[in-house]
Amino acid sequence: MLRPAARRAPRKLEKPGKPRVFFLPAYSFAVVNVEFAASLQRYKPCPAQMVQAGSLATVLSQAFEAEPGLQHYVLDDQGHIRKHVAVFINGAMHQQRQLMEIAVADNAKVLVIQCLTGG
Amino acid sequence: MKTVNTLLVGSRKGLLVIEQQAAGRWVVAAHHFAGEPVSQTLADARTGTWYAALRLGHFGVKLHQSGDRGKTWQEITSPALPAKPTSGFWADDATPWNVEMIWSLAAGGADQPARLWAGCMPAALFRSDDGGASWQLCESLWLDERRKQWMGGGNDYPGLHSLWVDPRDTNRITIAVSCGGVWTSPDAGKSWEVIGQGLKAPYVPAELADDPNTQDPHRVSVCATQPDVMWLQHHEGQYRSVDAGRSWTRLPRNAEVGDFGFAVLAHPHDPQRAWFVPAEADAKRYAPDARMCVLRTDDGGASAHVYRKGLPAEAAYDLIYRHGLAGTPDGQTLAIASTTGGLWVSEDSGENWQSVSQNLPPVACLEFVGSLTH
Repeated sequence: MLRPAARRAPRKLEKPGKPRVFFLPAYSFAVVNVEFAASLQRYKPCPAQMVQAGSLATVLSQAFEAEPGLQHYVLDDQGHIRKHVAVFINGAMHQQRQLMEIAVADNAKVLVIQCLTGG
Repeated sequence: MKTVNTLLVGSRKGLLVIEQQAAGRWVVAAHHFAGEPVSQTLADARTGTWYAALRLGHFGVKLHQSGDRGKTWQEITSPALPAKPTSGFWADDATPWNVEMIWSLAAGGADQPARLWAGCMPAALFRSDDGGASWQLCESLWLDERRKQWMGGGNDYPGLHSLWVDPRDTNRITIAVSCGGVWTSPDAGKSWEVIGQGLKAPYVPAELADDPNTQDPHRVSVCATQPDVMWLQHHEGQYRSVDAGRSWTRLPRNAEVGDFGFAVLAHPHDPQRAWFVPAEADAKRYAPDARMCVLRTDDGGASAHVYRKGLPAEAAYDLIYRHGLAGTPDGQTLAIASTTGGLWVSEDSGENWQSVSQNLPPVACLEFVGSLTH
């Protein structure tokens, strides 16, 4: 898994709405941002990460490398998203928990949270 | 102050450690995993290690151990099922291949200091030979084709709630499943035999009523020092075995409080004595007539006495569930705890009871540290 080195501070916005530019190392790969809700971090340290784009399974797998024990908090024994865990891709909830091979595109943001249903 | 007895209470909101500090004086000494459901505990007498199985609502089953009587805890590996086949006999298994809960825990023999057993829901059995660092699924049981005939009992899926390692031969394992009968292995889980002649399930089709694989033992408890003697609370009646579970004799139904319930406890030394906690069958499942009681037999089940002193005598809708009854190694002190957070103890073998709390979270399991049976 490739993670970028420390980033330079972003340029200030010249006009509202102008996209920020992040300077990556000379090499450049399609990357996805993966974040875990505080409710998960309560059990396992899991800061936000940038990982390679790919299927949802591979994106999460890369994120789990930093904290292997986290996988079993997010995925069940069959490798599917747990019933009371929700995964959002660019703000849209991924509904089909067993469908782990969907593509997560470059620059996507993946957020893993606990559902209120499990409370 | 010297602790006389220590009681582990696995509840919906964590693990409570309750200490008896003097006769009649019980205090909540510690609260671990605050807010988390604890489904089972094990205080391993061989090593002094405590184990707590959690059933996190969002994040699944987790297992923790403590080497210092609960002061600190470390998460260890929890049992997990393998990938479900997509073809073949098990491809259409209606039971999901995900461990939903650890429902029973047992230590191996004194000659197996690192061996642990975990019974789960769905009803899988796992063995560890490294103190819980890793777990192996007992495939011979999980892949036994008769498992497809099992049903859930009060839960969506079958569960393995009773687990016994014979101290005379620590490769002899006996388990009980709701609803899947009583099974025994002579070789540490390599092979299995379903036993239970005499158990009867009149609520299933007649041709299955005597089938050992169909039975719903709610709980099995073994006389620790005479382990051929076992007691069983069934969905339909109470039973006793004198041949290590191979055959069972139904006990007379108590005329006052019936013979339904979930919990049973064998006296650790006296093969004639056991306790049951009656509930009103079948739909109500709370104390008969809403008056709590404990049933004790002293003659091998031929008769039983109903004990009520110190227990709520009216409007008591408590249910003592399968693991909600525990006793000390001398069989003198007992505890019962309900799914609605009541906890009572008796220091005279169940004849008189006192309330410790009516405000606990729902209780899943009880265990006296040092208990000979679990």
